[in-house]
Amino acid sequence: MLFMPFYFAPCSLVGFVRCTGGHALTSLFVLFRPKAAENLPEEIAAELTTEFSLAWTGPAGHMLLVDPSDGPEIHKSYYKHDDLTPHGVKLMSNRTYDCFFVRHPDVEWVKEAWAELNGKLPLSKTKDWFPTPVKPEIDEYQPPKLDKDTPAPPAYNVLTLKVGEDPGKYYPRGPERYGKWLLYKDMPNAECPLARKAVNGLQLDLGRLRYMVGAEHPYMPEKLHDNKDNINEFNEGKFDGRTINSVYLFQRDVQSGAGKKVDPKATIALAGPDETETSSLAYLSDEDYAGGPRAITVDGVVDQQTCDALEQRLRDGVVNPLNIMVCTLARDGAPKLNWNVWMRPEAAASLYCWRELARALGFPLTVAANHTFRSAAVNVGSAGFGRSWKSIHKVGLAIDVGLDRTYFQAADDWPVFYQRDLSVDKKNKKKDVEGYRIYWRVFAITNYMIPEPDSIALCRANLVEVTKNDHKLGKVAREAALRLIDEIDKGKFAAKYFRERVKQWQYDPWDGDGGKEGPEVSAPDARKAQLAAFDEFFAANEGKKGKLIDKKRHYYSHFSKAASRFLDLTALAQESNLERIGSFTNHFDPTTTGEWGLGLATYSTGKFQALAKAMKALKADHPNFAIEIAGEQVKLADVDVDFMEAFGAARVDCAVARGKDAEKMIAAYCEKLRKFPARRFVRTPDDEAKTGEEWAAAIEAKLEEVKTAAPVNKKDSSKGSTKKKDSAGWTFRLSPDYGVVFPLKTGVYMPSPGAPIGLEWWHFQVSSLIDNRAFGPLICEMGWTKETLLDEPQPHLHYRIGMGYPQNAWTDQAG
Amino acid sequence: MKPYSVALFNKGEEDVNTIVLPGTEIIIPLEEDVDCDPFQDDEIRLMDLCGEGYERIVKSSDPEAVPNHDERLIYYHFTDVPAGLYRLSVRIGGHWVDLASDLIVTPKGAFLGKDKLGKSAPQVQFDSRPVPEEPVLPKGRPASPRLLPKHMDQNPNRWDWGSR
Repeated sequence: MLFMPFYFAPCSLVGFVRCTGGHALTSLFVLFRPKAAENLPEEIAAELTTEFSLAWTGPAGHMLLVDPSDGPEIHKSYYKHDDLTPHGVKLMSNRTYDCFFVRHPDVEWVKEAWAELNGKLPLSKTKDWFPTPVKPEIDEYQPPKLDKDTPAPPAYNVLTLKVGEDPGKYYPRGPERYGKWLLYKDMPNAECPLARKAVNGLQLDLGRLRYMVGAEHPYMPEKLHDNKDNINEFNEGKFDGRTINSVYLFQRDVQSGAGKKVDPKATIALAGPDETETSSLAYLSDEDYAGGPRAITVDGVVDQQTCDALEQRLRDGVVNPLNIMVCTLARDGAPKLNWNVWMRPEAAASLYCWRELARALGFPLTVAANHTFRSAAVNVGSAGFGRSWKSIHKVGLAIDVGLDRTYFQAADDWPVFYQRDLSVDKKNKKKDVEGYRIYWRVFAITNYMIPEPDSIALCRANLVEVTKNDHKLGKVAREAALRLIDEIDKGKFAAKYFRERVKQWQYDPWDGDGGKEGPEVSAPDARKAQLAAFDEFFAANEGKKGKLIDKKRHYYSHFSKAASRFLDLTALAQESNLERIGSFTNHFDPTTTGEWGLGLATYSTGKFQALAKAMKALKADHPNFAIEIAGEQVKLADVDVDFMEAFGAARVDCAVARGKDAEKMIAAYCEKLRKFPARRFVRTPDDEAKTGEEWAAAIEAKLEEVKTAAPVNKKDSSKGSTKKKDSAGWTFRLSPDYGVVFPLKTGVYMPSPGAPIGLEWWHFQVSSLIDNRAFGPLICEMGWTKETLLDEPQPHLHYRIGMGYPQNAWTDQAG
Repeated sequence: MKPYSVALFNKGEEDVNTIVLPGTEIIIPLEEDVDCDPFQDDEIRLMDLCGEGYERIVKSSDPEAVPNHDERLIYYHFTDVPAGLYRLSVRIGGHWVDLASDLIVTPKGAFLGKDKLGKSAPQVQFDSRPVPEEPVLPKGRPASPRLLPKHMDQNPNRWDWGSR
């Protein structure tokens, strides 16, 4: 018997790239080739040296082979495949590879480097490059879940090229100021501490120059909150959509020479997390930068050239020439219990005026501002009930006054009342295209004894003081104070701004109007109730210390014991160039004459069992109600909630494959479908519909086809390309038709007695700057750019996709 | 007895004999296709360094490719590989990508660079089962004894591995 000796080569597995800190390195170009044995004669070594291949790392850090025909939209084509790509690069274990790890956003640039290293172009950009020898290590990879309802696929071993976290391991090198990292959106190493530190440094520099990088504080990167409720949005150290926007805008300004000149010591040196109103106001400058244009590449990438320009503008105090925002305290005169709110100078001038007028008319707590500026990074292109993706908050011209978490009452440190303004309701009922709205008036209790002449005189004297203010934004207040003085002199003052009695609105989620007017109450009685509540609180907390007690004492000290009138804060807002808006309704009960209440709960199709249970309970009590899914309303009466509960998922996926594990899984899948033989299931993405029995049969037929026919090459591998196709031919993604087909990971809005986010008694805005203007141009006045907002790849930003706003943002009215 | 890399005539013989190149079997374990496309092949190529003497491509659908779904591997068998220096490549997205350029096959063994290849399946675990202590062959197809191709002399008394 003749035996042939046999030998096993080491395993070859799909290659991944991670840093030594364990982070998957995505969007990284890797030029690699197997390293030949060392110490060979030169002639032999040359024979054994192969060309470098080029890979690009996908979302999980897996290596995908770059085809020379791959163009600049490489991100778009490869991300589609996630980790199921057919182009995964296989590496051999136990072998060392010579690698160049290239961090660059432009595939064409990298292809030139590739050609240089393979001797097809003279060395230029790679002349100082040296390969890093890396032996791939065996690592465990956990494939991601398809959705929350599906168990995670089993983990398996992969070969991982591990690269250090220091920038010296990568080419090309970036600027010294940012740790030698080249910084750009979707860059690799985004999670590595050194790179995050570099991005944070960049964000702080941009913020100092008043380019927006943050959220509520627009010029500081957004930190992760303690309760992590902004886990998906925070951007401290992340080169996100906000950061590329500001880099891009900065580069444009440098190229055109645009900018405003400020005193760097009064502004840039003081900018930071604890910035004061004074330093933020010092940024308001009328002096144009005279330095002129400067050559710079405008592509959203922070290289040495951009870094030099940043350093120059920081040194010289040259800032964003657009509408930069200023800050003020959220609560007037209580710094320890306070935070900063930011807005455009026009809104800040209105708030300043509103506060000065309220103070002058006997309400020392003035106006509490809970929320003003909202980043464009939230509610991108769509928003849930009660919010607008084209919100005026995003353009820095809106103020939400102090409300508490219930939404139907004021914050406990800002005791005010609101009542329905019937005169306005009637008018708007006819003309408002969005339907029936309720408008409000907000009242505080004045400490003055209106209409006693002494108190009126006191108001007048206070207003005269307002006319003398020298605040940088005080013009609106000075003019308003003069008008009010005129009204005092003409005897119209008390009737216009004060009322004896109000009817606080009583929220009721099950009422067609979202509630009803409460009993009429006089100002003295309301004050007595307020004081009694304070006394009760202090008695219950006698001898105790704490922030809440300090807060209550602070506000108590501002209340006079006696009261006469309610002060109409809404009337004062109008004098301050601020307009209110009305409530809006959710329209979820078509059977009521008015509109059903304003409460709403949000469920996710990812938590399908909870959604099914909630819908079943709601349908039992209110079969006429509707729910909203992806912008469409669906009547509960049309939804089979029992089927939802029994099947328990928005979608189930099955990939047909050979092998006993796969076949076992397929059998279980078909068994589940056969439990509902006559029910209809719809396949994604082609929307083909069949019954459960029919789909089970189709899947089993496909399995037989795969077992008998596969695998066969569709092309002769020796000729031409054998690029593989998408997986549509053997995957089944089926959604049950419950009367509605639920998309995956979608919010479902359901009527609920929850927070009445549509009441809007708290919202005021500078309407004069908004009327009839489209959202896009307005937000761009704030320091955003169309290129970084649109949901389209942008050629001059290396095909990075903008934040996700649709084109109609540039035609649809803001609000 | 001195080994030769080809069969030689015995002195005085006149009959025509068949030249037998002393072959080696090289087995390449490659991860099953991650995209699970049951209709398209993966391929491995073994080519001598000159690119003229020996070139063979094994597809995942060929009988020489033995899958082991539990291990998520396919074992690609290259038989009768003559002594020489080889390049090993895998086809990805229509392009050949080198896995190794210094596979050396000799009558004394096969080497990747300086590392001698083993006679047991590589120890890369894809599941939680313990690694067998004894060397095992991949399931489905034994690596030896092999059937000699028809053109070869099959007289075991006259021919032995690489010598006579």
